[in-house]
Amino acid sequence: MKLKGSVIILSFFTLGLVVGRYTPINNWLIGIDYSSLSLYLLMFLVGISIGSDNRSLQALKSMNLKILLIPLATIIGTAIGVWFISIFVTRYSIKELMAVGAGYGYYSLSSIIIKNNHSDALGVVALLSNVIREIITLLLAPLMAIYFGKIAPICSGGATSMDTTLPIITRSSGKEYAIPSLIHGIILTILVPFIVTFILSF
Amino acid sequence: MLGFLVKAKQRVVSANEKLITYAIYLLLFMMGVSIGSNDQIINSLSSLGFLALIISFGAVAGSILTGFVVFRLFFKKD
Repeated sequence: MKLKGSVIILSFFTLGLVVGRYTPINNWLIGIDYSSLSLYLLMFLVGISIGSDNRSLQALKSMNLKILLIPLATIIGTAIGVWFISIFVTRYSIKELMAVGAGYGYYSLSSIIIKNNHSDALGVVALLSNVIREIITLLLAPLMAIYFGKIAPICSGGATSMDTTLPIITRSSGKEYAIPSLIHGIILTILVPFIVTFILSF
Repeated sequence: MLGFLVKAKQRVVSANEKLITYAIYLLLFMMGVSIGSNDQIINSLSSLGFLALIISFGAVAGSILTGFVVFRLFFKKD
């Protein structure tokens, strides 16, 4: 998914927002559980996509165990950061905020899962928050690499470090970090549905 | 024969990518519809947006710091 894809996705969401606001279409759809069904279908398709992607297999083969520390850093760092934010938020519990954080920038899938397993409102928060994470990374990756080392932009990008933010990460941290960035993104992309569902199950 | 199989697989894979894209378009459109018709959410959109913003800041800041630690401990070569 490239940046153009992100814009198109958000346009569909916005279009839906307008349609839902000004037409009674939602009243016809109430009672049909289309969203769980389509989510199952989507998860199935995403599974096929990851399984058939040669890059995932090659990444696994060339795996240096040290590289696994990067997604681990992202998961732990995100949890610490969101925990800190949760001190100041009264409206949502730490569990709900953690689920939003565990989208790691993969806003399309995480927001749909959270909407289905929790509520529309938290789904919106997940959509916005994870889009913002991608934007922050696109804007600040060069500064992160200078002040916090070459791994920082990768961790900031989260699941997007395999596609949308990969070019800016490669430019900021250097070509030798392209493969670690790719592997990091693939691992987080695979983990997002599991971690989000796991957190919400408590 | 093998080439044919590989080609067929590639076709399935690219069809699958397209399906995923369309499924995501549809689901986010439907998500928009259900949110657009929910007055409670529309009225609190700005506070939900602010919440989203601070969650992102926390998540990014935390990730950068742990990324910094991992870089210093395991990747820096000098």
